[in-house]
Amino acid sequence: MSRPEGEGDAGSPSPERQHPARGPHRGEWLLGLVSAALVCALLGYLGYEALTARDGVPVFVVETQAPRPAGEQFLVPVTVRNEGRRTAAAVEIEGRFEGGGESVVSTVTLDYVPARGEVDAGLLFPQNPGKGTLTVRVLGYANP
Amino acid sequence: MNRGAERSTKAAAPEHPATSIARAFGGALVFSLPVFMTMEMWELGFYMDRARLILLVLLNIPILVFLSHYSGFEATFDWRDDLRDAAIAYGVGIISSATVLSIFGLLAPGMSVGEIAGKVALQSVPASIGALLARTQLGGRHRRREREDRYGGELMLMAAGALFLSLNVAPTEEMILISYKMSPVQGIALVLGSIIVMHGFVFAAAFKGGSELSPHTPWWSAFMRFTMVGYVIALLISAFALWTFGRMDGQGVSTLLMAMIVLGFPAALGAAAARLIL
Repeated sequence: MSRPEGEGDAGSPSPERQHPARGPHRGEWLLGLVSAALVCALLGYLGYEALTARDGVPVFVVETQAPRPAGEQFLVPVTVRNEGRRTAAAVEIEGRFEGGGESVVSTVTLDYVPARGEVDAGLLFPQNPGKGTLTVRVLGYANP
Repeated sequence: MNRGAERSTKAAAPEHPATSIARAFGGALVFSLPVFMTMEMWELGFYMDRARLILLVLLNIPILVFLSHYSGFEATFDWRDDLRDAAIAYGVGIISSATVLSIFGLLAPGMSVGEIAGKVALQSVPASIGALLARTQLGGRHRRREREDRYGGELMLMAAGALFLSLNVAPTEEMILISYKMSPVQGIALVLGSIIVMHGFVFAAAFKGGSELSPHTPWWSAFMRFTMVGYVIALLISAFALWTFGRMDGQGVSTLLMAMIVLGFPAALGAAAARLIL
């Protein structure tokens, strides 16, 4: 790669000089410009967020998968998605199974469900929740 | 290219190997005691993704070799010496991690091999970097030498500094908690604040010498070529640290960027300070 001396700044024309060795490489400026553009894009995105996302609330969508045996119990994998623009903490999830004349409630608490993000969790039941009705819902949350 | 002009290698009398090793252990403790005493680091040792742990453990080798090239605990002159110093530092890191974790009661006979290995492997990364840094920071001979590709070298040095500081704080839950508490406006303030502080360090490094910059470099030139590039490096390193510790999983774009910015603050400080300290 060629290294043009004194490129674009007060660098020295002569390589023999004692002090600032050489003018900056053209690639250094290119890297600097790309970096500055990235930082500006980041600031722009944050500015857009600041202007639009005022008082959002968490909006939860709960998806459950088919129950599967897990040791002596049955596991229902749960995915909690937050479609809102606000992160929720201490999100309490309740799964209620009704079938065969009995009702079982299992709960799990998620530390955080990030805004526009998702968290995987699992609910455990002593009997197969596939043989009955299972309702999974979010009970509540706290602001982080 | 003029090399060897003002800062030539200071060839002092060789120090006793035991002193070097003792200093390395000291450095491993001083620089990584905070992570030894961080609960998330112990937990990550057994639950973090194994592929990411292996990547981190492997990536640490070239970082150590590079740091050894800059500030090893022996005056090294060729890459084989650098490799040897890096290996010693890694060994010191592993031994000190295993010892400290055992004393803290975090390694017990009932634990699985995977858990013990994971805990020691994870802690040995910051500990080994600390062992290498001990040279310049704990009274070892201060040595500088001319490098072939100085700009690239300085960027590498910034990346290493950013990685070291972000490894110290990235595992904690506070990183993401802070990012959840911050508003976008506060995010903008933190970005600007990180850049200003970073530029202060870049400016200071220009006066200290040993950098490609000199006090005669115009501020905008240093700002574009070092501060801006350095900040983007810090953000990328913080993204890598977050990903390594699984803090990125399931995050949305905004929360992810915010976490990068929060961790980017210590990473930027580490990046900028590395050029000043080493």
